[in-house]
Amino acid sequence: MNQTEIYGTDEIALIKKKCADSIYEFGRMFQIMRELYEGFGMYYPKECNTNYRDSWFHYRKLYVKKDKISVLNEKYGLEEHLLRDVKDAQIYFLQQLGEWLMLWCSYKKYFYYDRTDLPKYIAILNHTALEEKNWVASVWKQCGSDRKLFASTCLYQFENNIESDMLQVKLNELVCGIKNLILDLRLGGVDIYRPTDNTYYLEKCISMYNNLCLSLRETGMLYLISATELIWNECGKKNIETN
Amino acid sequence: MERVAVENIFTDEDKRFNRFLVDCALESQQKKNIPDRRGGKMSMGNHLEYGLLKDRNYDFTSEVLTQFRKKWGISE
Repeated sequence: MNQTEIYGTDEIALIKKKCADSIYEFGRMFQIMRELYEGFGMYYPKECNTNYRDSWFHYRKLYVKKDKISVLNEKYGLEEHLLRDVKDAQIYFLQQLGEWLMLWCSYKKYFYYDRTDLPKYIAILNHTALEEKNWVASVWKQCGSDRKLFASTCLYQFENNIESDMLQVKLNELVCGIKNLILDLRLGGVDIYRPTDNTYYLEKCISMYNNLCLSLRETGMLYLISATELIWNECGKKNIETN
Repeated sequence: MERVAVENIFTDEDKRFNRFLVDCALESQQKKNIPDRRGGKMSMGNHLEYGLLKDRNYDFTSEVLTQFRKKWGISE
């Protein structure tokens, strides 16, 4: 193939159509990933948006290029940006979630709260509508803007009313599942593996999200997950050691 | 595109509250000179990794890791 070989109008139209379909299909996948991010209040990575934007630049160039080499370059560039985009979105989501869960797996190792103030925590919990699904939001309301008190009360509630052997098993199971999925995604990158179905990993992420939500909802653990970093800031063992 | 549906467990109010909690954490981390991850930074917070990496022994037992070890000649 050399620079002078050019595509006919119909061939170019077909390539443009395929690329446009990919942009649309991946756009829908990003929307779903966003839903997962929003569930836990996470920020969707900026890098993913810029990769998506860059795929459009390649698409636009298809309208001015005709020679085969340039057209194929643009086509592959477009695919590469879309694939990188969705992979980044999935890995970042899983990493963030995995790190949060890992802290709860060994919470005694990572968290500490002042046990001399137990009556305070109990009083707050007594005034909290714990039967409400999102008990964490109720605790926040009770604590006003006292973050330390909020973090300590959440830890107290976790230790006394949520934590159990069964929960620990489930958390470990989820963390292992998340780690394996991340590893799978990263190894796919090393091997330049392309699943024939682009939604393969997306479906794995959705299943992971659904499994996590459904299995942790009953105990109330689900609502603690997004508070992990706030609690870590206030009651993390490392923070206490350095303060 | 047929797909598994996302379970609609969090209400809009829950999602807003979760975002609020994440924002609170990020704000107080900024005060400690930890870079803001809002909308970016692919690397997960170093502040957490300090605690986590210390005890991490990469306890994977999956086939994926075995394959990885084999491929790159990493011994256990």
